[in-house]
Order: sequence, then C-alpha cells, then structure tokens
Amino acid sequence: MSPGDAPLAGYGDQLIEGLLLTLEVSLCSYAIGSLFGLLGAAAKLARWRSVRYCAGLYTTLVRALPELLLVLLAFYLLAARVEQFGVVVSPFAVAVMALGFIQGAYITEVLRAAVLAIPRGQREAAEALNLRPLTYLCRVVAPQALRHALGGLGNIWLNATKDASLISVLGIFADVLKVSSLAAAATKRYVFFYAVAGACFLAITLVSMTLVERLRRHLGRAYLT
Amino acid sequence: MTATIEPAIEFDSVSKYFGDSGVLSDITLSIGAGERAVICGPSGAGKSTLIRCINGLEQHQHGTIRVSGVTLTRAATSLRQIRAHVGMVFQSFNLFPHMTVLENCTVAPRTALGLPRAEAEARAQALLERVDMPGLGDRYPSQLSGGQQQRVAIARALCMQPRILLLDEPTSALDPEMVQEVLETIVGLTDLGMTMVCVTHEMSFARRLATRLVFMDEGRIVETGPPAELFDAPCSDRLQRFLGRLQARP
Repeated sequence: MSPGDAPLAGYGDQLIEGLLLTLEVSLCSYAIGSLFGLLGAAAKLARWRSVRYCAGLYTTLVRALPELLLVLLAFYLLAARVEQFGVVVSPFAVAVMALGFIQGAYITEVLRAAVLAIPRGQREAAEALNLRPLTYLCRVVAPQALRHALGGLGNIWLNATKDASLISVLGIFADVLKVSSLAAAATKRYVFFYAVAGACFLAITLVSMTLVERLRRHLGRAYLT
Repeated sequence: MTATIEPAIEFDSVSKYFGDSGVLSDITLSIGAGERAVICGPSGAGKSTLIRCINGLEQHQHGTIRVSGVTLTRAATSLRQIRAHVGMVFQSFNLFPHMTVLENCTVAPRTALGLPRAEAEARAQALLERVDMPGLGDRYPSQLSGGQQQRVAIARALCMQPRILLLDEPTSALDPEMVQEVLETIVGLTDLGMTMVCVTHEMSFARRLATRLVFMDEGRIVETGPPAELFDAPCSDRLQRFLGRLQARP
C-alpha cells in the first residue's frame, strides 16, 4: 500500500505536528495576551489620566484593525526593523508576540469590566479590616474578578486557537490549516482535508469548553445555594 | 457615667462638603473609652458620613479627628494605625462572597496581624460561637440568611480585637424577622467593654445599647446626652418632632 492510498495520504504525521504547532502558538500567544491584558486593565483602572489614555489608545487601535493586518505589520515592518539592528528574532516569537498583543487588547476590556463589577463595599470591608493593598488585590479582587471574567476569557481563548491559523498566510509555518491545504491541493481531496482541519479545531474547542465549564463551577462554588 | 477616663474618639470642628453642600458642619464630639454612642436622626443628617469618617472611609475637609490619640490623616501610616483597632460592621454586610465564613473571619487576622492559622481559626470559632453561629464555618455567605450574614460580619470585625466597633445601620438591610436576632447579638457584646458607635433607626434598641445618644440633623449635632434624658425630655424641637414621627409609625 503506497502512502497515497492511506486515508490521510501520508499527511497524518504532518497534521499532528501542525495541530501541535497550532496549540503551541495559541497557548504562548494567550499567555502573552494575558500579560498584556493584566497590564492594560491595570492601566485602564489607574489613577493617572495619561496612563488611562495610553491604555485606551492600545485597546482602540488593536480592536479596530484587522488581526491579519496587525500580524503582517509585525512581520514585515516591526521584525524587519528590529533585524536591521542585528537582533535576530525567530518567526515563532514574532508570531506569538503579535497575536498576544492583539488578544491583550480584548483581555484588557474583559478584565477591566470584571474588576468594575466588584461591589464597592468589598473595598471598604478590606480597608476597615486593615488588609494590605496586595492582600486585597490577591485575596479579594482577583478571585471575584476571575469569576466575572471567565466567560469573556474563554471566548478570547477560542478566538486565540483560531487566530493561530492566521500565521499560515506567512508561508513559514506548517500549522494544521496550512498542512490541510497542502494535502488538499496535492490529493485534490479538498472537502476531506478541510474537514479534517475543521475537526481539529472543533476538538480543541470541545476540550476547551469542558475545561472552562469545570473552572466555572469551581469558581462559582461559593454562589450555589 | 459621663466622667470618662480618656476620649476614644474626638471630633474637633470637623466639616465635610460634597461640592457646595455641607454634609458635616462643624462637628465637635468626644466619645470616651467604653462609651456606647448611638447616632440617630433623619436620613440625610450625615450619620453614616460621620461614622465613616472615624476609620477614614470618608475624608473630612476641615477640623481634626483623633482616634485613640492618633490624628487621622490621609497618610497610610495614620490610617493603618487607626484601623488596627477600629472594627466596622456595614449595612450591607460586605462579606467576601467567595470565602467561607471561617475564611472571612481569618483572612485579616492572618494577613494583617500575622496570626498563625490555628490561632486565627480558634479565635474565629470562639467569636462565631459568641454571635450564635457555631459550626457554620465552612458555609459560604450565599448559603446564609441576611441575619446570619450580619452576625458573621460582626464576628469578622471582632476577630481583629478592636477597641472601637463602628456599626453603620447594621439592621437596615435585613428582613424584619431577622432584625431582632442581630440587635440581640449586638447588645450581647456590651460586656466586652468596647467603645461602640452605632447608627440606627431602632429606637428601643438604642435605649438598651446606648450610654449616650447623639441626635443629628442637616449635618450638625443637635443634641447629645444619656438616652433616658433625650427620649423622655428632648430639649430641641427637632428631636421632639423626630421622636414623635417615630412613635406615630405603626
């Protein structure tokens, strides 16, 4: 049996590698996005107008421009500029930084709203109990904000897995979508290979949703009567 | 007992404004250690603002507030020093909803006082028993009635072993059938010898709790004195009218 006769036409290993790359890009960009989101939300809630203004500029610009455009800008403008100074950046690093920067804008908004949803009395109770600001942040604000934010953060994560395929247009990454389209073109079995790609994303989504639901129940355990 | 050893709380010509309107106007008041002052008056009189100024939840613009000899400023050190021995019970309880009853009562002693876990929990258990909530330490606030939540909030404040306890309308957010249990709990604390300042509309409770009644209207202290005197022989028209309206209630 030649490789071409197998159901995946010998592309099985490449597809798995592509799936792993997609997951890797998603996870890394989401981690970076969370960092940008934390900083962004802190800036948006800051006391100083100029800091709030900068954060507003960030979220407005990033959410206004198409993600693909931002990824292309990162590669052909930013990375190229940086390399002129003799700093070599791996394409993977550029990709996850760019995607993380985009997700950070959305995470900023979700976290900001989640913090604002905490009643003012929580702060007053913490102050009256003489909790230190850091204790207040970690023990009172963070757990309650996370519960408010979970739905939004879950959505952004699902978008992150799909946005990870944006890098396939750059031609240097063999993510699951890229491998599928190569396999489809080579075998002329377009429907089949694009369906395989779709199934991969669906699998990621289903697993993610299960995990998010578990986390939601854990964070909501105090609120079930 | 008006002769007090040392003042626990002193207001000296304190004023506070929101924009142009005065919320507190030239308040001068001294509450002695161990005194139990009940602040009453019509809504909008500035009662809650007054009590919230004592631990710096609200800032005053003029005058001086001293709590146990420490002058209240906006500086973090002054606030920390004062809040270290001033507990507060809020109208809407303000329990931490994601923490169990026991965690609510131990988070501040463990982090702000550095108490070891076992000691903080033993203290919390003892005080939960005192507010008649034994064995409910692992419940979450959402699983308790309003009255139970407020009693947990009282225990939480007591866990910091405050010398002064502030109660800001502790029964106003409660269903009528739960008011009494919370009032009884508060009256039951008098043997701890704490200085207490309580804003309330419950006049029979005020009579039982207070060693001193402070009647406020429009941001000023109109009259102050022992509750028996004020209730039975109010000097000012405004207090007479206020008490008359309360008695007219069904």
